[in-house]
Amino acid sequence: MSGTHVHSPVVMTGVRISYGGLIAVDDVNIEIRSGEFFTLLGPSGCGKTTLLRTIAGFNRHTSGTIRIGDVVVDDIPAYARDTGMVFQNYAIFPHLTVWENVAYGLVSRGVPRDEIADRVADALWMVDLTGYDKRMPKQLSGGQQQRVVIARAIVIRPRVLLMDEPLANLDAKLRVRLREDLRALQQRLGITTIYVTHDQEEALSISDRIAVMNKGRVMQIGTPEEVYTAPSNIVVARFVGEGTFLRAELQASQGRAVALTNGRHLDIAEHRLAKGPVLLALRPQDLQLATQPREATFSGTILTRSYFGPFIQLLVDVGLETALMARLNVTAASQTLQVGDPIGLKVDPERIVAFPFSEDADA
Amino acid sequence: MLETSSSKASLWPRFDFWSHMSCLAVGIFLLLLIYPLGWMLGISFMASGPSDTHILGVYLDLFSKPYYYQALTNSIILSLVATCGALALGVPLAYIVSRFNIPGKLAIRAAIVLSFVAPPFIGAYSWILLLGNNGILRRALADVGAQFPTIYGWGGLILVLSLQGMPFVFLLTGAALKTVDQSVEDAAINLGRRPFAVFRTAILPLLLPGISTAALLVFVTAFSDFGTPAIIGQNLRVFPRLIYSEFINETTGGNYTLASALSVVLLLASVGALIVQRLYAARHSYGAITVSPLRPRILPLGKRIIAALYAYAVILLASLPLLTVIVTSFLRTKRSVITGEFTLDGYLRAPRLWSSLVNTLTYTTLATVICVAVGCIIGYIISRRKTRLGAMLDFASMMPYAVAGVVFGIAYSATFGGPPFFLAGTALILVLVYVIRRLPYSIRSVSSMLAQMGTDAEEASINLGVPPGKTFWRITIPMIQPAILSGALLTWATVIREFNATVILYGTNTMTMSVEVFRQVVAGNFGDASVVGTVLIAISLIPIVILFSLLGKDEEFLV
Repeated sequence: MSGTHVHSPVVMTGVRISYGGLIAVDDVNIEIRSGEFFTLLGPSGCGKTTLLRTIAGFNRHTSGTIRIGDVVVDDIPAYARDTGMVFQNYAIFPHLTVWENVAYGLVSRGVPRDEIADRVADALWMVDLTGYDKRMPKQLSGGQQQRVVIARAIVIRPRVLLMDEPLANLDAKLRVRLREDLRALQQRLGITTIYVTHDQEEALSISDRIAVMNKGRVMQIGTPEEVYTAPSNIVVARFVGEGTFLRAELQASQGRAVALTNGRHLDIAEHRLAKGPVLLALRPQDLQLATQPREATFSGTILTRSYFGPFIQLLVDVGLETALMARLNVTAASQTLQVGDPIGLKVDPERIVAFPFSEDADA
Repeated sequence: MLETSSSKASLWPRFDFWSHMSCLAVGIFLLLLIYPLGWMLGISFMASGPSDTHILGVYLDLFSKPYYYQALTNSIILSLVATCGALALGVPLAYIVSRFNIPGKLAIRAAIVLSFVAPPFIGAYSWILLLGNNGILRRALADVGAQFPTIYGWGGLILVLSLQGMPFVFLLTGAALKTVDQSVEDAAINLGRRPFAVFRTAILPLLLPGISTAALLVFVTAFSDFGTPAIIGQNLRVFPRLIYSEFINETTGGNYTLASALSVVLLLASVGALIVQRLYAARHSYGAITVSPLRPRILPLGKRIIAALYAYAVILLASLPLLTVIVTSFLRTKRSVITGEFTLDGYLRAPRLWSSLVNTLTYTTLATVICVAVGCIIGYIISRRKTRLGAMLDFASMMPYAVAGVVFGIAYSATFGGPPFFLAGTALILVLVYVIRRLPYSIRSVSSMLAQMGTDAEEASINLGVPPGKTFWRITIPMIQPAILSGALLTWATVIREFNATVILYGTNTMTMSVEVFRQVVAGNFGDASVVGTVLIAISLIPIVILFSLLGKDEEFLV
């Protein structure tokens, strides 16, 4: 089946979307490769869904161009764009059976009757719903309904698959299972997919590349590893993954030594920042228990302790403006730690990323 | 292959299926609402005779000659008193039925629905049978020595119009009671209020928006009712009668000036009442969220008996006319006097029973089909297309509520009756007036269901390659079927008994059942009137039964 799909790159150039003076999306330039699993990640209201709906043709962008394959789709109405969309609320047709739901797009395309039967059966098999043809949507669980909708979107062999938080309404366990299935299906079909989510863990685990969006703008485009380990700015660092953010003073341009607010000095990873105030990002799992006092980069007392099974999460007061968040593996040493105990934490300087200081990124 | 050319956002919106439909919707409102009412307004400014030189000539007459302004004051006083009467009867009844453990609630609700769907003036003429000069009840009372006043005149009008308005009040108060949370009452009791004070200070204020809507409906209906005053009003001049008689006088000369001017005044009065009520309701609406509605309370035996007796008395009074019509339809009439002898002759011999039944069913069905089709499209535009045009259509779709049947009758007769349409006396003019009067039901029904439904399914269909028009047909329509059906049934149930516009627009071949009942009453043939009236009541009930049994609606759906 994958051989008959026509997959297309999606190229957005200078896309801006505004409603009555309010700019929802601005200056978006993204090149999505053919067959790529591309995720738009960001907090609610960042414009990611608006952008996806614009690609589908439900909104009209104010300026810029959107190209699917070699076709500029700006003025092509939604029903002629040849995209397959999966909605957050399923958008299953409640008055049609599973089979009729999946066949819906094929019938409207005038596909011959025999071929419809084959392709629907094929699509239902792919989402593991063989034998459910005659069920009505209300007889299905939420996960099954979502799989019907995925089958309905892929059966038309769209140029690009658009997914708007398709797993948001499912429970946590099912969400993880279905996202693995989704990724496997996408790989098998080799279909260009644009996926919208606010769940950073989901985005990291499923995507080839991610565009992190905030306030209508694209902050960074990169592989999950790039976005996580080398965030291009403080907003991305704050949104993707957790961490502690410390104010510091850079002693020299492109230098590695910084002074913390308590006057202590620290070495950080390589950077290109100029001398002056900076923000340091520390991932909780990069902080390790210091067995020797002189190893410790920070020392303080434990404020809170939460047990998570594979790790213990601590908030540690080290006399700075914010407490450090640390995630320690469950070991003999870490297990005995209690609230109020003194503790030393060490960190590899290469793991400390610095960003230019800005007041508004503080929130 | 698709075009590869790119273009900037054009100044003009894309002209798609829904743009065409919006134009159609605007066209319908322009043709059926704005044009006739505007034309009527224009006519009212024309000279009514050689002595009339002032552009506001007729209006000056209206407010300077007692003949006219007395009719207006009569109408206002009558409607106000009838509204108070309906409230006095309906509010306590609704409270008793929904809060207390009295027996026979189902029978009470059924009786309310029955009196609600009955043709408007049937109450009037059956009260003649009961309390007319030779009425059954009056004779019976005279036999025991009690001299009871007749139904004719002010007292009778107030009684009949109050009883006609009572079901509105009952239904809307009942609906409002459902939105009051039990915690409100609990809190008031907890703070130390006695039961009646709890009702007065905590519950009643929350019911006021609903009650004021009912009061408006009763007022406007009574104000624009032509049938009841024509039958039992004797020589009392009220506004709709005045309009009708001026219309009858003027049709021969083709001069509508006076009837139009009177209609404009009636229209302004109803719109004024609507605006007053909307402002009042908006000021008294609290938007509270109901978690658990008020629970029924158990009354001690003595109070329970008093409450039940009150409820039964009101219900008996309200359904007495209906029972009279049904019973007398099976009695033999001799020289216009109804005897005690059972017969089916009335049904076999009633003149024009079948022709008026066929007419009524045909026009009603046609009007309902058009209302549903147009209502679906306009309802969709209002709830899905958030444009300035959608807001305008929304406003236009509210207007027919405020326009009385008599006013539509005059406006349609003046506009479509003569050249270039020549629709006077045709079936088409009746169907058109029914469509515009009842279109709001389908529009409201569809738009409110769509407002609660996400747009996802429709967008999914478009995304799968089905253009907007086909998507509407294949996805939206099946999904809003319940709203379509209930809108259709409500339209059907109300069009079938339409009288106030029909009586102005019907022709010799387009007589409907409500007009036929009226004509027989006026001619003094009460037996024939009862036969036609009973059939009319029976077929009015069909959609109500379907609504309640098939769709599981309750009686509050009617308002």
